Amino acid sequence: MKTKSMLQVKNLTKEIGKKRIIDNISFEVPQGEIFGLLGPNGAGKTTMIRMIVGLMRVTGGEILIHDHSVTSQFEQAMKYVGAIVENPELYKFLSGYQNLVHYARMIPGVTKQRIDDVISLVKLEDRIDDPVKTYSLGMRQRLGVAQAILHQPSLLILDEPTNGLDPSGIRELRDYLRHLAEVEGTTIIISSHLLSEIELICDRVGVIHHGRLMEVKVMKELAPMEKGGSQVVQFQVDQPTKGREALIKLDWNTTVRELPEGFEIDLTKEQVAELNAHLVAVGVRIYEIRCQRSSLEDRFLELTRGE
Amino acid sequence: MTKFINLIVNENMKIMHRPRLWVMIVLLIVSVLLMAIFINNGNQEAEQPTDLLGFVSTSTDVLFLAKIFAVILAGDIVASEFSWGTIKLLLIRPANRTKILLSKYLTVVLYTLFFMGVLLVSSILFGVLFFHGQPSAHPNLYSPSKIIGTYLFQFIGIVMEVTFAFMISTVFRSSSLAIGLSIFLMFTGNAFVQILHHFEVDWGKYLLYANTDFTQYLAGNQVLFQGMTIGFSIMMLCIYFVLFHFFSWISFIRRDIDV
Repeated sequence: MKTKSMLQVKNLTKEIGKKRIIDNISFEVPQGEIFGLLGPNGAGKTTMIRMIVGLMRVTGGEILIHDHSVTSQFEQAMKYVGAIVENPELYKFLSGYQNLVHYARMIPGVTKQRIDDVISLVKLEDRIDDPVKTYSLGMRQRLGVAQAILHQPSLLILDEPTNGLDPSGIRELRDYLRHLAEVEGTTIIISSHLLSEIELICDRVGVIHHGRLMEVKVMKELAPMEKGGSQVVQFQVDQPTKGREALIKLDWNTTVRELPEGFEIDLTKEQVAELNAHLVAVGVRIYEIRCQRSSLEDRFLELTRGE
Repeated sequence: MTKFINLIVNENMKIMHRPRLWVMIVLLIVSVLLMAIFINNGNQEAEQPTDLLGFVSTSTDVLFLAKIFAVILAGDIVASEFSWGTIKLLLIRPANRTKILLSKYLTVVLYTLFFMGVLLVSSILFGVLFFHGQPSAHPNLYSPSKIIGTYLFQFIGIVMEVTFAFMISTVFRSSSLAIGLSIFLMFTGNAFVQILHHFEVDWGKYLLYANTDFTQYLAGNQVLFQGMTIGFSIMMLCIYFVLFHFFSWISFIRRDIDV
């Protein structure tokens, strides 16, 4: 069991004017966890992240990074933090390398060797001496990641990190973040409004809506079939009518929805195999069985819909 | 945490790698060169310097250009980080906001000294090249101590204007406002003080621009407003200096970064 909390957020509140942007949020993130902050645009994710990195003052409550308060022990707390807040805005008139040297000078212990290692990690070797203004959005994003991990932070905070990355870049970033969390024990906080992204990478997800933390979910719980629960499964078959009749004969207490080329049904893991065997036995040809892994999306919409 | 000197090295890097610095340096040198050429080819009867000392002394007029350039750097150094959005990545390091702000201010003061140094060196250089030999008609007019005095007084004045521009830059987070307002006041401030002087409006002596010109206290000169002394001016400048810094600092460390 991981017990050490890298980040503790306690009763955090933020008011701007009379408006309450963040309303009494508390959560903890243990070391080595990838924690997702999910919420629609304007829910308070960015405000949350800006308070964690000290760009915005807290109205109430406190934030501890490695047991150091961001408010009263800013310098100690920030030693552990690497971050990208929204788009990584870098000095366009400097080269990529100069940008990294700039940030390296601000943190004790970053060697020249480390800078070179990070450059090859984000695959910018060929262009690192060019001015940043000549970089594509994807390259700027990678340079942004480079400055965030330069000092091997134990808490990495990424606000919408895949903006502007191409699919292979997203894939690489994901693999790298996994590596950081699992091998180096880095704690990572990712905010996003993209469900798919959060789903693929995070261990736990906090859903923020209207400045409130609605729920914190362990990702594994959101795949109920793995835990013996039921989930929506789509069957694509050659004779939908015959298939459905066969299904009714099984007399399972579940609802079936008709689809043009098959049907959709709530099933447990075992039932999927059973139904498959049964359909084959009655001579229905099966083209596809697909598990709809939209449980987080359902949950998200449930939480954020309707006010 | 962060070594303070590194912050200054960083600020210097960000100024050095922009073309405008080199334009400023070239303009300073070219201005002194043009001045040397004009005086050298000009009317010999007028009170023109004819020797090195005279030229170096006369070329202190170009200090107004150094002042404008220093104000441009000061008005830009904080505000540009906001307009570029780079302030976000700058303020999430183990260096608190006070240190960041101080490093920026000191960098601007160092550049003020640098511009004045460029001016002094180039005026000596062109003075040697163009004004060799014959002593000036009015030997009492020019002396090394007067030149040093002019540079020193001007430095104090420039630092005050730089501090003002720096404050506007920090409080309003806008380079154009900071540079525009500072240069506008630079040109109108003295005129305004002169108008107040003309009508003998007494509170004029509390204005910044009434106190930046120390030559009024030199022997034989008249003070702008009755009752002004060198001690009074030094005190007024100190008050302005502290106030400018207080507003910059409080606005920089307390306000949220929402760019």
